[in-house]
Amino acid sequence: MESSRSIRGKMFTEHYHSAAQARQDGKPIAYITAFTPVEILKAMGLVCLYPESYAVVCAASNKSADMIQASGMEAFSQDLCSYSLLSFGAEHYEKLPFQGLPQPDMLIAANNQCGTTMLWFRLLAQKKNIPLFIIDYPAAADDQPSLVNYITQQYEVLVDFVKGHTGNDLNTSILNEQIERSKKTCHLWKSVHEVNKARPARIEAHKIIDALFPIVVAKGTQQAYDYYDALLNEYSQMAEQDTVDAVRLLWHGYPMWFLPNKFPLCFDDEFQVVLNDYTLWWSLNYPDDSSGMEALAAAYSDTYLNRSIQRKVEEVADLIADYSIDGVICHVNRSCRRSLADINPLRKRLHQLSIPSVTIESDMANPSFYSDEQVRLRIESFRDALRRVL
Amino acid sequence: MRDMRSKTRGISGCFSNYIPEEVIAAAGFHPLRIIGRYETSSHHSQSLYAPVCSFARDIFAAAASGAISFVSNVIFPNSCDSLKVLQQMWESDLTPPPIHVLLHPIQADDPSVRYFAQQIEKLADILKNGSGLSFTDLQLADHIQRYNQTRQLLRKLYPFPDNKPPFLKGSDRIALVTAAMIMDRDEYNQILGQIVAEGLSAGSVERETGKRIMVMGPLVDNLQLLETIEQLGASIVADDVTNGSRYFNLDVDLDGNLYENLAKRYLRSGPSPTMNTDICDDERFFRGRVTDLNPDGIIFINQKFCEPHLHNYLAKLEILKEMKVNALMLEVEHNRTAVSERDLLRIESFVEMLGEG
Repeated sequence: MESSRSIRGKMFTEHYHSAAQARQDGKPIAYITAFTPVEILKAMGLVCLYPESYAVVCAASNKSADMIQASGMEAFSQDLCSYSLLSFGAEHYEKLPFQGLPQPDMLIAANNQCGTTMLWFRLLAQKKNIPLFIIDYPAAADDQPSLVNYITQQYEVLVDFVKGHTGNDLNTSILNEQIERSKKTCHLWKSVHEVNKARPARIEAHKIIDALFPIVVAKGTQQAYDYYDALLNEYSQMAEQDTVDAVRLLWHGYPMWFLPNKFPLCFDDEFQVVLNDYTLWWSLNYPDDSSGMEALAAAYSDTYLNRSIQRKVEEVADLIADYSIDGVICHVNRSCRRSLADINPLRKRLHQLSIPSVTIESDMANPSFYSDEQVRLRIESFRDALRRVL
Repeated sequence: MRDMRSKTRGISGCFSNYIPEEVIAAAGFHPLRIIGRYETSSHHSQSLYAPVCSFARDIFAAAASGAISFVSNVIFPNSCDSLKVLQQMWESDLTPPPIHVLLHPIQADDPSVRYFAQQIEKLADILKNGSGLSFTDLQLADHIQRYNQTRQLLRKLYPFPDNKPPFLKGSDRIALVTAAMIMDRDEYNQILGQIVAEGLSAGSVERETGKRIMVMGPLVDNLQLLETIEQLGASIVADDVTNGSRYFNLDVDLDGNLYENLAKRYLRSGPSPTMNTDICDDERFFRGRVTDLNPDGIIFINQKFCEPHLHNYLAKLEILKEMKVNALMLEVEHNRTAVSERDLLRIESFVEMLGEG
């Protein structure tokens, strides 16, 4: 059986090389945001590329500083999302990984993760002078039927939009296959995390972050399903590590993509990040009681960042119980305003649960907001506090 | 406000131009736009993290220190991420009043109007329950008429659509629109009616020699900043700000389903940086307005960290370069009454530069 590492390596290079090939072959290309219902677009023959995911590749390749400078928007670097800055920078920067993303024929964005994506894609559409479609997901609401109805109506308009620009019809059989595989893959992805419910934890959380790519860019594909199946198999067969059980930490929010291990190097055998809840955000809940467009509307309106504050806080509290977490590090990510809403309420809840927590102010992709010394100091004092209470 | 509380079933604090004030008023509450200047104890000011906009941080600090505790409920829009953070933090960290979120769509097509109409009706039911005051369609129509009257009167203060010279200074116009968001509606309409009647007979105040400035941005609460622009010899001939011309476009139709009519008016009252207006329509509207008003320069007044308006500035800058219209961006903190030395210098040199043109 092929190893998960080998499958992922192939997927990664194939994703970017096939995108360049698609441009040469004249296939229609769309730039889309992370939680766009890609199943519909794939079922209409679109090649879908994710500027956010590509920004992560650039940040992980230590290109952030140069690309942000190239964006010409340095003056606004404190105010704009660093993914968008990297995306604007990519337009003017030459040494890009995989020679950059090919030019798109259209842009499709959704506001179910943040409002920034709509603003960023509007600006991109204006600069590139190409068509844009925005899918509106009002916050996850209690009157689910009218919300789902509103969203599915937008999906119908989206189908017309794509057809209008490509001539392609929606293939409902491919759509249903994609949805079914997305659903199964999301279950698998969740199960991959769950191996770390064991004590001691089987795997360091930054290695799970390394496995994120397929669920982001290839969710409805057989390859993504096979990858997570292989990964889960490998993790499940791992012998329990012959080490002393570490103090178990949860990293709340975005990783720091520019760091080699995505988290500051302040953890060791004594303190281990066993879970990063950000990676679980990609495990969408495709409902069992509906199908087709309705299932997509329910799943995509219910992203983590689109939920009510009560739900967000209680979900993290559940993770703390399920994964036997001893302490929480909250990343205050300058780039993502919406992700800042739950930090103080969560810390209040953690206080009730007697779980120590600390905040680290930085950014997901802009290293100019990262101070190694300050972060070390904060985490050191957090470790001291944990030692005192455990 | 004490007077308003005794005259009504209570005060509804609200944000944004997408909350239909007519429905709040019909349910017996007084709709009060939460704008700020509140006395705030300093230890609360860091409770929202810095990339959240200055307005949201300031209002949260005010609410945390009890400065807004006189309201009976608070109605939030489904708006930018900073307001979403404010709403969720308010809901989680602060004591009542109850909070309602009005889920308005970000686009204005027919399905969006139908969805928004349902949400407005839902809000109406919540407010009726809260006040114990039910209302009929006829009573709602009566309130809509009052708000339509305000909108019609406010439009007379402005130079569009026919580009007639205004009879009030730009800073006074914005102050008057802001008052509409705060005062009792009947009293306001009466005073505004008198001002309009007197102004129309008195004629234009626009200086012949002053440079023509248009101001753009979200809510401008620092009126002194606007007065400074005028004191430096420029005229604010028009604005595109939340508490200016964006407040009063379009009336609500009184025939047919009133909730759908309200939804149509609120979603279709013109482009806004928090809404997904078709990019071509947005650009056409903006180019048309700039062409009609022919300003010498545009000053963008943005609240620090206000993301939608920063993107709007970046988008409009490209168009203005093409149209050869100069622009200046000022980033301001909410709840400041003074004009910083830096902003003063920047306005001064901008106006001077326009003079050289």
